[in-house]
Amino acid sequence: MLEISGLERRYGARVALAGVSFDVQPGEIVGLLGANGAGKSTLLRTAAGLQPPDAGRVRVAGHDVWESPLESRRALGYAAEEPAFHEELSAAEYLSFVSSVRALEPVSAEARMRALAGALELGARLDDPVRGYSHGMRKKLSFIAAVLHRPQVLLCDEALEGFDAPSALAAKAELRTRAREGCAVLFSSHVTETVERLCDRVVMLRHGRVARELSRADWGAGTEEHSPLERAFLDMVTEGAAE
Amino acid sequence: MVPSGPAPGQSPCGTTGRILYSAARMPPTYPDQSAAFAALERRLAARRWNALDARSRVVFAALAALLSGFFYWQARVPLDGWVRAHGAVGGAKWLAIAMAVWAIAAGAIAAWRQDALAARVPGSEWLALPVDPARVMRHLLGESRLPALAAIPLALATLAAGAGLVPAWWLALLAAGFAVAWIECTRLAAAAARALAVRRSRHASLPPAVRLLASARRTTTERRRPAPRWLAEGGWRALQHLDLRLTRTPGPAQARMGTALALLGVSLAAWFANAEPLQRRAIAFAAFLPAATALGAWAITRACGDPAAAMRPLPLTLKDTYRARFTTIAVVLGFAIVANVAIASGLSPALRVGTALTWAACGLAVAALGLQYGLTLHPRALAAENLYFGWLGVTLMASWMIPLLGWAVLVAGLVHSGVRLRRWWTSEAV
Repeated sequence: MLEISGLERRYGARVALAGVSFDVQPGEIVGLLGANGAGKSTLLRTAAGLQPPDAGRVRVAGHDVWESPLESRRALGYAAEEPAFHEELSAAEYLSFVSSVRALEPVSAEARMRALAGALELGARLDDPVRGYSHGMRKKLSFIAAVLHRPQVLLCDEALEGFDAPSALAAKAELRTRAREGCAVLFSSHVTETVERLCDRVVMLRHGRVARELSRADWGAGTEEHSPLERAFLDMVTEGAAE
Repeated sequence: MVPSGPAPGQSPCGTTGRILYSAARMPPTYPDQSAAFAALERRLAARRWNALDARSRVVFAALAALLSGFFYWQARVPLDGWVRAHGAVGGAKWLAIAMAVWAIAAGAIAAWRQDALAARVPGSEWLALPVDPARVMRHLLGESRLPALAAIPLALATLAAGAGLVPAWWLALLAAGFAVAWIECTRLAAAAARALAVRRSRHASLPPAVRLLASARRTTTERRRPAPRWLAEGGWRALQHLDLRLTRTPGPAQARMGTALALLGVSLAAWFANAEPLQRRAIAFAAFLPAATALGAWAITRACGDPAAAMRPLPLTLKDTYRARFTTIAVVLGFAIVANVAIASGLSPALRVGTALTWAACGLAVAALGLQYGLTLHPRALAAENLYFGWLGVTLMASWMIPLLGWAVLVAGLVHSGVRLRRWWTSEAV
């Protein structure tokens, strides 16, 4: 459903992605882990079509992101790490625009928006201008916009960062529902516990390359101090430092 | 045993009575931060220079050369006649007045920029640093002077028009006088703009500089927005509705559209003036053209105002974004042209058709130029506006110099911005 092959991206002399390849199958939630600067956000932004790759390709639901942008974006949802909106508008106005662009059926789209906003505890502020929103509220709004149309591929860049506990639970429930309905979810996070509980598989990035790919069965046992995935992640980082 | 705390009225050091000093009464002393600010300003200058690609530098240099050449020529001819009539002293006075006008124009630019900076300065971030707020104000003064630098080459071009007509040492004296006038006019105008901004701000008890920083970019409690209508339009229609919604909301898009509509109203009112039909048409066109320019500026505001993280993942194409804005422009101009032609008393039917076609071509080309620069320079609205207004300025001057040359310049601008349109897909500033 989401195929990333040979993806390369440089910022001047700095290599952010150096031939990243992996895929995410329908119904699968794949975690993306990496230290700061490992290339997670670059990978997600490139996969979302926000910036072109220097080499390689990304296919979303069978469509190349840069050759068939319209078709791929119809199938895609993207929750940004640093969401930005039209500050003058309310969340409801922005989401109604997103729904209209995606030509969603208006009545059901509005009902879904209200249900998601209620679950994420944003319902009471839907008609307030976005410029008065906190960081967490902006992240929630970005998440709702990403899942509103029930995408086939969902890219979440630190999507739950800034969520309060009940909202984080509701968002994780929504992600699991999306996956059950066949959505391929790529979920980037710094919080290994969240990834461990939510994801079926983990891709670990180091210096713009895939350092490890682990399925749930591969995580092994943790220690008293660290959860299994946290242990695996720290091992990967230590290996990187030793190289 | 737990030691007891200080008794009421006693300080932790054991002294009794009141607090010995108040921080508010003792102004803090700051270390010399000139070097830090100088380094910041150098880095800002380098960053701005690097932000311009080689092609943009050539375009801006060409615009500056063309504008300077225009002002040189516009000054040279009347100055020559003036010197013949009033002698070299009269010519020097003429140039002194021109230099004063340029210095005042520079001051106006600096005041406008200072006003914009006062509203947008990251006040909380500055106040969080151990930096003298008055030093921040001096930094803002320098920043507000930057766009006023544009007046210098134009003033020098005007001054160069006096070469051979006015003694060289007078020209040197006038240049020195202009330098002083530029510095003082920009300083005074920016100070006046800052004083007005301080008066508008809150926290009257604070020193002016702190007051301005504390009030800038304040998130105000705003009224709730009306619930939107949920539609399923898809593509450009949805974007067009978003544009209209944002244009109805107070902000730069509304200001630009409001200016365009007001000028179109003036162009309609011109037909009721007590003048010959062709004169009335000329007056109406003089209002119609800036209206089209304001529509182009509106298109820049809207094209550059779409946050990439929110818009780029949506199924919208360049065609959608172009069509949404161009359709709005075409509808507004179309209504205005039809209304103008309908009330154009005294014009023959053939002249009315010719007027409609000429105005439509001209208005659409001018506004489309703004739209194309807005789409290709997203999200840098200021850069797009500079290029847009600069190009229109050259177009206007070309029209004055040689009939129909303005059209050639305008078409060249459309081609130049049209070639850049494919950049919309690969915007790196997202």
